[in-house]
Amino acid sequence: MSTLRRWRAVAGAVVLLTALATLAAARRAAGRYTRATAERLAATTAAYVSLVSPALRGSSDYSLPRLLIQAHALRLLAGWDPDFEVYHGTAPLVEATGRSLTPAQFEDLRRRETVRWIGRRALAPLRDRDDWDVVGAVAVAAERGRVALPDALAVGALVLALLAGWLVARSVGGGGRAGTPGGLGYAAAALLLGLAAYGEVRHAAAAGTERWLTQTRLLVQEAAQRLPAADASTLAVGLGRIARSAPGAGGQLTVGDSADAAVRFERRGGQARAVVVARVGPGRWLALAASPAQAVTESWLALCIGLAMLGPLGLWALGWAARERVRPQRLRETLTAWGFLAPATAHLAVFSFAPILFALVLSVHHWSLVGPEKLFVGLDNLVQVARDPLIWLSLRNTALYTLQVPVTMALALGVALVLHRHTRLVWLARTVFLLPYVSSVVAIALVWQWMYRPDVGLLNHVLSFIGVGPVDWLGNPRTALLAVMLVSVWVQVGYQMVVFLAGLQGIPRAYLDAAVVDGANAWQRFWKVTFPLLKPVTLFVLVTGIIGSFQVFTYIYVLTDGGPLHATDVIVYRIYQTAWEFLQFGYASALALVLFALLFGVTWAQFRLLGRRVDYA
Amino acid sequence: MASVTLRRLSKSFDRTSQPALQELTLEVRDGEFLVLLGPSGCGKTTALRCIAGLDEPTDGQIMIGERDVTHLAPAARDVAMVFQNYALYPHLTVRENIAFALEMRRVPQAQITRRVLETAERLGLRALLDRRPAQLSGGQRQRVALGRAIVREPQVFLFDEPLSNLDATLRPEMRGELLKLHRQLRATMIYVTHDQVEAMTMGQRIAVLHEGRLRQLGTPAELYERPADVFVARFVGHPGMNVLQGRGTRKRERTRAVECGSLALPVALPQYDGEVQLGVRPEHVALCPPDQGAGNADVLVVEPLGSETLVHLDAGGQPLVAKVAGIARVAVGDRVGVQPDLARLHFFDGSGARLA
Amino acid sequence: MRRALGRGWGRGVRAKVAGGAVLLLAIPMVVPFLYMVSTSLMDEFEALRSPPALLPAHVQWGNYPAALTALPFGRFFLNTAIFAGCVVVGQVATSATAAYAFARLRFPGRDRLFLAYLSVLMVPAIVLLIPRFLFINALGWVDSYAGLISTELVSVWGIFLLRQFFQTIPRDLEDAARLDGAGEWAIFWRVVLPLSRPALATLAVFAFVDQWKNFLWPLIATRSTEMGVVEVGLAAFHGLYYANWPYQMAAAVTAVVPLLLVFFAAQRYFMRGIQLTGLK
Ligand SMILES: Nc1ncnc2c1ncn2[C@@H]1O[C@H](COP(=O)(O)OP(=O)(O)O)[C@@H](O)[C@H]1O
Ligand SMILES: [Mg+2]
Repeated sequence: MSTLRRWRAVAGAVVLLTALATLAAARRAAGRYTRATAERLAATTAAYVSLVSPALRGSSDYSLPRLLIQAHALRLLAGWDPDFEVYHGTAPLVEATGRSLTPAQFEDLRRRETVRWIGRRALAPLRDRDDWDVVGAVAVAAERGRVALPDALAVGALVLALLAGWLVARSVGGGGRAGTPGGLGYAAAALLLGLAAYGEVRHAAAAGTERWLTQTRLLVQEAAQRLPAADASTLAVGLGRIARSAPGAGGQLTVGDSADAAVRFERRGGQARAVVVARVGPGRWLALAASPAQAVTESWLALCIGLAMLGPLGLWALGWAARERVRPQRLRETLTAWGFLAPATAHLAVFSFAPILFALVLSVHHWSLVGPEKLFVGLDNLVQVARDPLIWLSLRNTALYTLQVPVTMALALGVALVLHRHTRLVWLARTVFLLPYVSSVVAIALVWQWMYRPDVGLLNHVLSFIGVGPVDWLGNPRTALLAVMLVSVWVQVGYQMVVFLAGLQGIPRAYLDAAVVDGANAWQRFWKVTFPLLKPVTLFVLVTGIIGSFQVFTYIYVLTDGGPLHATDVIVYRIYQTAWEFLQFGYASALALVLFALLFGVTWAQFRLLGRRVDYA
Repeated sequence: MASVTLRRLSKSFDRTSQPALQELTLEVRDGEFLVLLGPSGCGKTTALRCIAGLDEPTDGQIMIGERDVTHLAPAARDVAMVFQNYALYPHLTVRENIAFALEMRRVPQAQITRRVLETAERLGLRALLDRRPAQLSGGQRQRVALGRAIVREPQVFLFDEPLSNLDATLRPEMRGELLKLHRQLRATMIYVTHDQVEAMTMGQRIAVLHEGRLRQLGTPAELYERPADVFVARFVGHPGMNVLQGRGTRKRERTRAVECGSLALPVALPQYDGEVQLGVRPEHVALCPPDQGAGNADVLVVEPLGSETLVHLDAGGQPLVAKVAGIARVAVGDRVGVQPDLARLHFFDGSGARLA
Repeated sequence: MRRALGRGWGRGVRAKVAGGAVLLLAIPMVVPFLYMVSTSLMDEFEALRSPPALLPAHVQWGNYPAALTALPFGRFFLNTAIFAGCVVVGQVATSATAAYAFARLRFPGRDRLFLAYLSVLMVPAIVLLIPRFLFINALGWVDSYAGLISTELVSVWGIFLLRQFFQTIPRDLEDAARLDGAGEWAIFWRVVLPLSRPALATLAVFAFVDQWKNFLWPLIATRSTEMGVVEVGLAAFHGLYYANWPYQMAAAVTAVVPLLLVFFAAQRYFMRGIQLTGLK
């Protein structure tokens, strides 16, 4: 019984640790947002200082006294609250007695020209007036994380999860099985905890954005007073640098309308924005906008919920193990098996299963590599797929292209039937016919392109002997697809032939001998005996051939680029262009899923129509 | 060395089919050569694999010596097993095959070399040490498999039909060698076979298994003389015992008889209600002229074996085999008299269990 | 009698004709290769002559060094070798361990998990490529070996292949090893793997050739010339030296040769691999 106690203790530890890990991860995430805010504020402040400090005459460096004045003035700015420092070179200006930078730190800043951290302070480079060299730095300390307790919801969720978890852990190894009310209750509580933890992250992200916006507004207003009076749009351009300077989701400054001081959220052109309005003079307002950090926190959501759910999952596994402890060999074997499976399973989870889910997510978003904005568009992508004539064209081309499969199969089967008899030829022929299949795809595409040349191509030369005029194989929209299909046949025939040969060898001779005795001729023997027995192999070749054919890409890419006039534009080539040339990953993913659905349907239909009866007597 | 004790050992492979072992209780004494005998599919291999730890019993307990090994890993049990098809590692030489277990147990290299040589010497494998299993004959492979087991000096040896893949001519020789080995090593050995001749000639005691249950445990003589039930009676002996379906009758007040087909055997039974099964070994059935024995029977088949002859008879619808010395002078279709040795009859009740 | 004779005769002729037809078909299978080699040795202008020259008038060996240095093909070959080599090692290792668990160990949910694995084979590559690319982009792995190699390290086909093979190894061998005191790892490493050399070689050869021929993934996962692989480099070369066919053919020949060498050296495994996939 003491072993059972130990199991339960472990289960309790799992409950506690996963709950704490969830909150700790949320804390870290929140910390990252406060640090990001400090980084952005440091960069913004540097831009501000650089904008308002006049340069030395004949130099692009700042006049030190003026820089000193600006730095001190900043401290007196009403509402400005960051714990900051301005350095000229390595020397601190605001608190002259403070620690100066080490030369190494300063050098590093000069070389890398990005924000870096020293202790708790984000150090942004201060560039000279020409924006050329780094002459100083601005440091902003990360806000002391409100070390206060997590908010009420999180505390509540924590208590709930611990309680429910404790109840389940107490009964680990008892009669109860997974999926009992207790287990489900704990799962629900853990889910709640994950959501609450995520809520904290989101809150920190929003607070960071808001803080940057309100503090930057002060700088914008202050800077506006120091510039010569101008209209709002001129000011917006002049002060734009301050807003843009922040790393990450850089802000924008535009002419705005009067509004209250609060940060508001809006959607414009599909982009979520957080906006504050700065008053830069009588009747003149500027709108300062930034992309809200909380809009892209999905990965934290996944992490929080994932961590929290480790608890129920772990307890479920522990419960199973504890029940199985009476048969330790089985338990041991299971653990060993998972040890062996771990590398492949982890890889598949990350690089196959997660991508499939991610592809689904992508397909309902506008997703581009550049902006941080990932806009949810629902089924718009699919609607667009249906409306896009190019897609339909490429689908048609893909379907036409797939007609090469039966042609290849007929050829391959014919050759295989002949070779099956000529045992002396088999080795040589197999080698020769497989050459294209094992060769470099691009090299093959190149040599065919060379042979397809309209003027000096070998193919036209040969054809001229039988009086066929020169054809611009790849240049003519009417022949281009055919030409690519021919290459495909040429490459695939050897592979299919080897598969058919193996299938033929698997047919017991006795069947054919019996047919001979029954007086069947060669033709009848083929259709009545060989072909039905070969059906599984034929089906395999057909299905894999079509699957491969639907995904043709390299030949198109090298031979025709989808041209001429989209005559060889196939679906995967379309997806490639959409994703990697037009950078529309969401749309491309929707297209890819359409291809998946099509292939699934086609394969399923083939098995239904052809695979139902596999007649092995 | 150690004894092996099985307590109510059960094993099911899946929930639906019937269990391969059912509450098998058995004690193998220290240093004993025990044979597990039973027809194919009766659970012999399963029992052996449970003892070895290759299968985990569904229920019950296994003790080796004083240790409960029910849930120990195979390696921790200190048992060696010789498989039916020898299971030699095809990619290793004979030497490496024999040394494998020692290497796994991290025995020092010098000791491995010495023990492998000793074992090879004992089994006459010296000249073959650098060959691979594929280059050996069946008998040689058998020896290597043995060598692989004895080099470990385990507490218990398990043999799973080790001779069934050998030529018939090699078998008696190997049997002798195995017994010699047993005498030399004085180890506990459990030997599985479906061949009752092998069992009778080798076993100090024999455990008969049928459909996962133990039917009888005893010395060869006990099995032969007092089979516990019809199954054992039929299975042991060559050919097995005749079992006739009989019914007790009272002819007169004091003489009682059992009627089986055309035979009427005057024997006293404790009770005459219902069916009774009557067993008699072929060698205890004598033939005589018609109407002089306990009844008459028709000759169906005659199998002259030289020193003796098997005569298959039909005694009023019941098959009966008689084993008579020398060449019997009977022909197919003859009607003969049958006289079983009344002192050597066995009685079983309707369900097959021995009566008295 | 006469009919039987006639049939026998007809059969022989038919067979000969069929054999001849197959040989005839084999000609177009090799001609492009020969023409590739021949063009690669021609003078640039000779190649553009009409009617086309079949053989070079003067063999221009210089085409090879010239073409192979016009782009850093040495680097491409090195990258491809690293890429294919790492993937081979990775796929063989992960496939062997996973296949062993599926073939030989018993644990709850084994068959369902295996089906889930196999279902990955159903998914078209392009569906996975987009998210995978975004992954490695987020990790900053685009244009690095890590990005190129990491996604290819497991092959479900390989797991399937090895599982089939492992299942043919007699269980008694493993049980014997278990009794001999071998742990699961020792059984796997010292008994199962040595007995599976042909299957491992088949998987290795296929993985190598597949990755050598892989075009789309390197095309999107790498950008710089330093990270280029042969196939992508060859396509780029085609774009740069569009008019110079002898150069292009020289590069093409160089790209094909290593593959053909592997093919000839490991033809046995190649055939076995194709047959195994075809017959399941
Ligand atoms: N691995 C297994 N899975 C399912 N059933 C099995 C397994 N091994 C044995 N059995 C079943 O258990 C019974 C006993 O088998 P076994 O012990 O091998 O018999 P034998 O006495 O011939 O050695 C048989 O009915 C057999 O079908
Ligand atoms: Mg058996």
